[in-house]
Amino acid sequence: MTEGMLAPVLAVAGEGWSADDRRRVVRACRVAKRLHDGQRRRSGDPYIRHPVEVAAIVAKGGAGPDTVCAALLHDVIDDTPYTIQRMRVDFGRGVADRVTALSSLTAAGIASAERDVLLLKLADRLHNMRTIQFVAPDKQWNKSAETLRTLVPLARRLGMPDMGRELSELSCRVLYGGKRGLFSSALRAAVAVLPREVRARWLAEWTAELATLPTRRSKARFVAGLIVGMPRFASILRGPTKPHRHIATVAKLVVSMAVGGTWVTVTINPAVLWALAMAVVGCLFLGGAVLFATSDKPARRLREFIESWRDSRPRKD
Amino acid sequence: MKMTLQMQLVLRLLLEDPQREWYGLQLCELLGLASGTIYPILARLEQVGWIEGVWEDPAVHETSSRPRRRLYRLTADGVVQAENALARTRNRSSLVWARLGLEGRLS
Repeated sequence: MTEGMLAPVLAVAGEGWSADDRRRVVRACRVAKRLHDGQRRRSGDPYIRHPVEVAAIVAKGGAGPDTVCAALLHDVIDDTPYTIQRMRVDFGRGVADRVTALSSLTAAGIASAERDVLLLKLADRLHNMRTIQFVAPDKQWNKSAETLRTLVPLARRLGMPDMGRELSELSCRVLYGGKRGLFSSALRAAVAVLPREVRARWLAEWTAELATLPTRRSKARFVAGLIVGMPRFASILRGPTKPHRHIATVAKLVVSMAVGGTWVTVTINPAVLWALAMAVVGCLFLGGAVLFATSDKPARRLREFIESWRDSRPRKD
Repeated sequence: MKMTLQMQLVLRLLLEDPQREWYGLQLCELLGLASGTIYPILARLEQVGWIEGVWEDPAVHETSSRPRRRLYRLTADGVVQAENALARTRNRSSLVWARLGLEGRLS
């Protein structure tokens, strides 16, 4: 049971570990599982999944058995009656010291901390960020801001660009509305008419304002106002321009909104695209039937249908 | 600087308390103007140096758990320029009123 859960950890650990190390890691997992028994993550998962995932991440990052054990046991001191003295006796000083260092690690202490402890910190945060949608919104926001500010640079400094990238994507999704709604997509399409060097700045400003608007209606009004004002805005940013430049800007806005709109339709709701495609196919099929059928019955029916529709409209004469 | 009515409204509000920092959406709501009107005005004013924009202090927006806002405030030069511009517009409109024989109707 425990070995099954640890399979990803032990697979990565490879041949470098002695049978003794492997046994110790399995024992750490069994102890953690017993101690966290009955506790759950906010996601509803049994708590033990978190330390196991963290252990898998540190093992992948090349950590030794002490660090993997520390990953498995990193929350037992805070959340269960197990003591650090006990851990020192059961698993050795190396494990206990790492757990202590991890739980007392502060932003200021990062510069002087050991690599193993930093790896634990990063792995802990990475798994927390992967499951952040279950946390309260304000806490999500604070964790993401902190991750972006201190942990992403840390991951890069430790030579783990992939971890840095994932952490940065996960936090940006929380901070800057990664679950891109209709409105932020529309804004993104509309800023295409602005000079390239200022797009990001205005988009950031407007996205921030958009996030504080309470209702869909107010968001829609805000975005619509911006889109209507966009050509004029672009010409202000570009400085005095000739009329033809202005027309070109309007044309560009129309095109980018159309492209953006299609993109939104495709990404937000594939069903809409599918329905449109089906309608086109249906029309082609009907048209083909009318034009190429051997009998003229369908054509006559179509004519009758169109005539009855025209007759049903009120006449002016 | 083209002194449209909307521009005058924005400048008058900013001059009420020149030290105060405002964000775009706040101006839209207070003045009842569309976002597409306010931001071009802010961009124009920032361009000529009458106002300056800064990103909000992380300590403030992080405690209130929202993305950082861009805040605008009149510059020292902006205060003088804006007051002059508004005075010129007032003069011009009182001239029009005088020509119409309605002097004194407008404060």
